[in-house]
Amino acid sequence: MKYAAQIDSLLPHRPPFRFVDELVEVSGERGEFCLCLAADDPRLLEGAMSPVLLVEALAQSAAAYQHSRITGESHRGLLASIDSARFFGAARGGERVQLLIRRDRSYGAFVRFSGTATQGPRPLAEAEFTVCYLSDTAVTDA
Amino acid sequence: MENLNSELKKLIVTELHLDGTDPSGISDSAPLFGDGLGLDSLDALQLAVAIEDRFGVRINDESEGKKAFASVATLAAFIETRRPADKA
Repeated sequence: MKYAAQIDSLLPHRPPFRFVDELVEVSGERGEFCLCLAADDPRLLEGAMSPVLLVEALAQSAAAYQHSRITGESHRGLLASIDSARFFGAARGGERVQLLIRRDRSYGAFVRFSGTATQGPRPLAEAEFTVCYLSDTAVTDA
Repeated sequence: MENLNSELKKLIVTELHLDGTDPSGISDSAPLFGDGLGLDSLDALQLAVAIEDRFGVRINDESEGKKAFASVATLAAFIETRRPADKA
């Protein structure tokens, strides 16, 4: 419950469209999050989640990471581009997916992230993507 | 410097997927953003990443980028003054 409240404070997304359940650790330019899939999760198709949705999970993880470092009342990030993505396998019901993101570069309002989704030692997906942050955002190095 | 200008034009066309644009048709002095080549801020990030990968030169922020990205010629001059010896 405490993890849901924590993520609720970092993301505007709500189930079933929220693909991040827990903030594990944020340190420097890296963030670790997880997605916990129940066996009967309604987002599963034939027991598995499309790997493409893991890119959304990584993007939401990046948003949660960035918002954990932002001060100020008004901030809004929009996924501007997916620069590359590779898929290795699907996440299945009952699994805990580890979402690792890294803030790579920023330029003006745009921030480039890279991320990997894994289930234990099994790689599921990796992607590089860019988020655009709208105005009225003050970013601090927390 | 002329070779660097040509290399940059090819890099711009390739990295920004400017299909149908002939690199040799890009003027050294034409603006890259807005009028001219018509690039936008998202292109600026992509170009900054590509330049760091290729030349080892980092464009630190938007303020620095606005000067460097004014044209191919200014970008080439910026790179020449900053690139490491092993990437010359």
